[in-house]
Amino acid sequence: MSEGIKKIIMGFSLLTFAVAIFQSTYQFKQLIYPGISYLYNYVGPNIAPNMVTVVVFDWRGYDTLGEALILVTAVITVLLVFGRGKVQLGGK
Amino acid sequence: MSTILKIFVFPAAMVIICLGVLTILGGHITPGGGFQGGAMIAAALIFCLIIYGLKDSPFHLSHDFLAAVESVGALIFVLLGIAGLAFSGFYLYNLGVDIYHIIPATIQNLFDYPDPTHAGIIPYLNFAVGLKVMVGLTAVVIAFMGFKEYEEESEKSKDFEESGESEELDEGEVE
Amino acid sequence: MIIYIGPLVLGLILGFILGTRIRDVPESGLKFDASVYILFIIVAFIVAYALGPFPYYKDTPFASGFVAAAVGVILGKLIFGRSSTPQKMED
Repeated sequence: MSEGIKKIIMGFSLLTFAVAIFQSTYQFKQLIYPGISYLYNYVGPNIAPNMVTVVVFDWRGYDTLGEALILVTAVITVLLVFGRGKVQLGGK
Repeated sequence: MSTILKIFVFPAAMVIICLGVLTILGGHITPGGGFQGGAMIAAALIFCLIIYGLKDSPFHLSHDFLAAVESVGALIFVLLGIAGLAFSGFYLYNLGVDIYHIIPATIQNLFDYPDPTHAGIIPYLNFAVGLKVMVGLTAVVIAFMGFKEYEEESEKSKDFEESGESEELDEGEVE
Repeated sequence: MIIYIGPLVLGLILGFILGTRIRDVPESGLKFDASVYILFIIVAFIVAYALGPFPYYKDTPFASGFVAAAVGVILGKLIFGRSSTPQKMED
């Protein structure tokens, strides 16, 4: 690609990113709920007795999915770097 | 490693494995859960690996088994989320405990955990995460132990070549 | 009185997965007979009775998940266990 097209794409993506960040941080204070949530504090103990597990796996279950995928990535990276000759990686 | 250790380790490792399973199963009642129980089971497997060595360990974990179990664990987590997306509109919606009352009762009874607490899909998520963690930590330790053996073998072959050359020089000097 | 099958089934599956990988090593000088596993089951029952059940469970006086895991390991070894070392590491 030529230099001009690269500069145009870079400028356009920078503009999009800047608009997204500024629009999400404008009036940020009114968007935050303090603590867990006023509603979930009443519903949570009816699901299971352990409030920590309920918050980690039910209210914030998406973050736990990201944590599990981090573990997969770490294991794959270690096996790639330290596995020469002992692990069948395929190919030549 | 001495004989007393080799007699003691295998039953002790099995008891620690059962304790780890108990910690995984009680994730929604007692402190613990998937990550902590998986680390306990990995500790028992690594215990056996250290005492007996990589080739004589009673828990023989091959590369295919480690890859398959880790993939199955991650897939169960993701597929439970997609089931929540298919039956209601939300990803990782707790299908056993229906706090918005938007799904029919048969699906709710299908995904519920048969338990006095009726915790929904939380124990199944703990099970999937437990599988992943125990296999992942053991795979890292096996990779490091195999790497150390590979290094020692290459050092031994290099030392053998060097000692062969120095022997030839000594014989030349004596003659 | 109802027996809750949730912890029993999940404990059996986890113990079974780990029990299929136990194998005997005939060349290292140590043999694990059937007596080791019988002693392990007895110790498992004693430990489960000393641990007690989970807080809201009223079906058994011992920890049902612990006994299910022990039975699962023994079942996995009996059904799928190998009795000799494999040829190479990738077995």
